[in-house]
Amino acid sequence: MAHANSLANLRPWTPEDRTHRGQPFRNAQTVLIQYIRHQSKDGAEMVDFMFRVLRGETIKAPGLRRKRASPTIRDRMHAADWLANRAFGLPKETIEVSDPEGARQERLTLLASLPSEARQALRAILSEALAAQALAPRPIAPGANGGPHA
Amino acid sequence: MRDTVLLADDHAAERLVDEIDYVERATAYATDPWAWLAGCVTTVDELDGANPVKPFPTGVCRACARYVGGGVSQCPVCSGALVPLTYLRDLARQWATGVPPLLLVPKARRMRMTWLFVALHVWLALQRPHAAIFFVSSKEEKSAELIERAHGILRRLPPEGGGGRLGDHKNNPPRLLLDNGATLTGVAEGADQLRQYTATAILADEFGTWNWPRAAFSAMKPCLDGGGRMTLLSSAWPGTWAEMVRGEFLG
Repeated sequence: MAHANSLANLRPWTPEDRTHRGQPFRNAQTVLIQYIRHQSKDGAEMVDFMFRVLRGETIKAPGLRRKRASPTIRDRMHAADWLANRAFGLPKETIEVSDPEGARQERLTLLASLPSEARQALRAILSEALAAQALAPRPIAPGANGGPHA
Repeated sequence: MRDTVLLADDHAAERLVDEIDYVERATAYATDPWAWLAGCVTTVDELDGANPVKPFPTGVCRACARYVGGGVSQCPVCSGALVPLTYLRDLARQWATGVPPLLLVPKARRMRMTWLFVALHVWLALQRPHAAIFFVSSKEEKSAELIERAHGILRRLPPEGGGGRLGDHKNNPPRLLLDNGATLTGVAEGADQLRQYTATAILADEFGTWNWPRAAFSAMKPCLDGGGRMTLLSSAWPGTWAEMVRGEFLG
């Protein structure tokens, strides 16, 4: 017989264990997510509410003195933003990698420190590569012809 | 958090080639004053009302006798062949060596000699940090005019030729300060004008017409003894200048 503390005594949880061993561990966050989805009919109630705000409809507000509230322009814009983000995704922010002057100066200093022969050799290699690139067919960019955006 | 799309630099290779060419030009300009004069320097022709700013002349058209600069191989007006201005080129390269430290240049008008030497002193100021360079004329107003020429040259330089390196411009006395600490100062002739300074180079314009050329030369001579250089320009003039050119001057 195995020792009382041995791992050999462990066995998987079965529904029959519920009465004397209780519920198995469940992640609280997962439970909360499932509850919200269930209560809001997979989010439909929240979306409906946001649509009512977007359209400027009067909203029942039991906690307020007037019991009803009308959304302001700011509220409606927020609702539009909320809905659009969920329908179309957050807008992509395009940042062009610019060539800052500091980096250019650094390259110029580095190039100036090279002997002239090395600069000419580097230039020849680059020119050759550029000539080859000019002759090669250009790859199709992602997102072209209605494809998915990069 | 918003998605971010980084656009790769599609022209990095072309840009690097341009930068190599830039460094090659800058290196050539730093080592060869004639290349710098031909590629970067502009002069002002007061007689040409339509287009007074012109590239420094490097050739003259055989057909129409027009000065042509900018490194072109034929006259832009009549397409005639150019005769290179070798006297300017040889003087520039000789002067750049600093040997001999005293250079006497007898000249005639419209030979571009003043422009040449003003530009060469600007080149020296660009290449030598903390150089103290003086333009000396018979009056301070005339020296100021030389400083103005130097100022114009500096303002119109391309970046690879030293453009954007002018630090300060003062009028009393006329003085240009560069970013490397070099100065170009205009002073009037006189034995006491340069006594308090240590000069790297002195350009004396129209030296023959000065009132006291011998005394002024004696005051400037310690510049030569200390390792500097002196360039005396003048049209033909009797007296001290004529003696110096003929080799009879013992000052």
